[in-house]
Amino acid sequence: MLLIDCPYCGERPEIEFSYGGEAHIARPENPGALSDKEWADFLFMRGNQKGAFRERWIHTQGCRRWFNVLRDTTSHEIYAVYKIGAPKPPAPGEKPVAAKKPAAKKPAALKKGAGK
Amino acid sequence: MLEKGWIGGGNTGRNTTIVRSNYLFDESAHLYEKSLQLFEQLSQELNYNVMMSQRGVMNLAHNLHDVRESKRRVFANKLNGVDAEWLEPEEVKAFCPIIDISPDARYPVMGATLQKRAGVARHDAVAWGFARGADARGVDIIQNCEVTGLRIDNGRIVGVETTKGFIGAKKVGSVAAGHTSVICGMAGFRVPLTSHPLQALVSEPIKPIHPCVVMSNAVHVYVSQSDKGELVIGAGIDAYNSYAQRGSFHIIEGQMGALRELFPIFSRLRMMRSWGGIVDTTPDASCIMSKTPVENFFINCGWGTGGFKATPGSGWAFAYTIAKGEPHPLNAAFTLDRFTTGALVDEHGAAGVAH
Amino acid sequence: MAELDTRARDLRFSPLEAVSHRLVAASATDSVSATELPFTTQIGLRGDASDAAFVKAVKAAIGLAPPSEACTVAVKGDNRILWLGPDEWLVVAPDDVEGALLAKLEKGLAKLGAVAIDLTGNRTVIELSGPSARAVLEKGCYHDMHPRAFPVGRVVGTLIAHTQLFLERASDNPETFRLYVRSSFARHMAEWLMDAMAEFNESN
Ligand SMILES: Cc1cc2nc3c(=O)[nH]c(=O)nc-3n(C[C@H](O)[C@H](O)[C@H](O)COP(=O)(O)OP(=O)(O)OC[C@H]3O[C@@H](n4cnc5c(N)ncnc54)[C@H](O)[C@@H]3O)c2cc1C
Ligand SMILES: [Zn+2]
Repeated sequence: MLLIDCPYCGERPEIEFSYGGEAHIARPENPGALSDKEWADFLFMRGNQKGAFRERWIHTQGCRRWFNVLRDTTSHEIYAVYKIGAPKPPAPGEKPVAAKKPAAKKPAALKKGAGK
Repeated sequence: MLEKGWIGGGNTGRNTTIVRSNYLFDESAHLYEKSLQLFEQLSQELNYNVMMSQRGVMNLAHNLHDVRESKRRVFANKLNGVDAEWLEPEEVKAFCPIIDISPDARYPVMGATLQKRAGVARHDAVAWGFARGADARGVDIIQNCEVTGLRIDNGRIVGVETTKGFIGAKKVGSVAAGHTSVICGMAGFRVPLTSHPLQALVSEPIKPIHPCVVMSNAVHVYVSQSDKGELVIGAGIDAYNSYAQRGSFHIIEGQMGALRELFPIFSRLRMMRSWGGIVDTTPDASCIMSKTPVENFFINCGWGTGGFKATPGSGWAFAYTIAKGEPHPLNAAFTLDRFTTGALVDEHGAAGVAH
Repeated sequence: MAELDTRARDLRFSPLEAVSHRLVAASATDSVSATELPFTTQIGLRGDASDAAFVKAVKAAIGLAPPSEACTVAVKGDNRILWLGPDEWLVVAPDDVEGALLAKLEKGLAKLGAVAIDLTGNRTVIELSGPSARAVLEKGCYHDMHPRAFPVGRVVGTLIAHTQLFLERASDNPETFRLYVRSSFARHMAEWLMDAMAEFNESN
């Protein structure tokens, strides 16, 4: 079982969490303007990376907050945990990337709020 | 035939060996039925005992919705020429005496579908039977040879890079299950697949007690007894993406709870081994056997938790697709562009429990 | 709203009332005992702990500031505020004060974009205490119960016996735990606890 470091509650067993799949897939701003191929690309096509992989988890049984995890899909090692909207921490061997515009405006409480 | 590990070291050698063809939709029923018919002849055809045992597969119904859905599936199967029966609880008990059909069970058995021609086949025998058959027909099987790149010239495949060097080829087919995204990544396109662990386990061997295959979508159990006497039990997929061929323990724990719920008689059994495969799941729980954006490069994948039963049919239709450059009518619905057109073949119901 | 009229008080029953005598029978104070704390007032709070006005309004109504440290509990007299999430808390108070507390909270929070909502009755509370209480919980809970990971005055949302709950380790006693269980799951939880407690109370 994975031990996941919830950015709000700390280390908890995987059984308390639910999985949200690949992270950083932005919903198209104007779905109606997309071609079928672009829509399929958004809805169905996935990176499914072998190795370092950015994914979403929610602490369902605990604080019920979504957050991102950078995990290796070959070893299950968790490299980093970061809040929604926070800059992406680099994967091992990867240069730090400057955060682009955050996907969604985060509520004030998440920015300054409690937790570690 | 290039294999990065050993023949049968992928999901083929890790599955729970269930073979059946009672899928809901026409497209799937035809493909899996073709496969089952090939399975029925396979030992003769390959001159190799694949230990095909048509002991019957029962899908239990535990509530009224299950009953309605199951009957619908029986009717759909019959219309497609697939053998299917509906059993009332007493008939379920007669077919598999260890099932508790008392109405006060936590998940009462309200009936079941039965496909009598379905059953199990020995998974590694299938792998080795095919390997011998292919070898006898002149196929080179190269193990410990990993494909590390695809050489593409002007949108057309011309060969593969491997750990043993470059191999030129006019046509290339990829059947890499959980690693398909990696292979397609080499060609620069994405596929609608996610790779997950799927775990299974076997108990200590016991005397013959379980005469058929029992599956329950609601309780999530699929269990049979191998010829060695072990109970063979499959779990559901782990939620997270993984290429590790192992999953989390609570999945196994939950699986044991489900098994015990349905078969209190197994509560004292010790489990001997557990393992995991990397299954390639698709959004509609159906396979992909298709041309790709790269000319003469074909993929056969997305079998997820249930492609062992398809092995002969899948090979048959894929061979046709590669030879002709176009899919056979049997796999015409399972192309990559169904995710663009929206013509999905949603078999989540009949794929139900993960197998 | 201030007081329940006596007739309503006579008619109501708590989720574990029907098994309360069995909980007593399954308990032994020298090892582990379980009892329901029925009818506590419970109010859900959503707001921004870094907003002084919000903290002030809550303090004025409850006598306590919502704790900003994750998984902690603020206690004063009979009132407690449990941290549930970075912008979410549960106020727990004695029976029959929800009307009064809500009125005060709503008044204070009205202009702040914060929310107080009556959740009384959503969860009942089971108090488990005694030297073996931790061992009982460990049978069905993956959360690390070691005081290093779960000291007194903490609360975590987790699972026991497949059931979601908030689990509080009392601030005044490391051997006392409070289980906030949804009412419809309370019977299941109580049955599970009684079974798990049996080996520790063998004289029963
Ligand atoms: C636990 C479990 C239980 C299952 N139970 C059932 C069941 O009861 N019934 C059923 O019908 N199905 C079941 N399945 C599903 C079934 O096993 C698979 O769908 C099926 O075996 C897939 O066959 P395949 O040949 O496509 O893939 P695999 O057998 O996985 O073969 C793919 C091969 O590709 C190789 N490969 C990957 N990358 C490369 C590379 N770069 N170069 C060279 N080689 C590479 C791998 O090493 C692997 O051997 C189960 C699966 C699992 C894991
Ligand atoms: Zn959390």
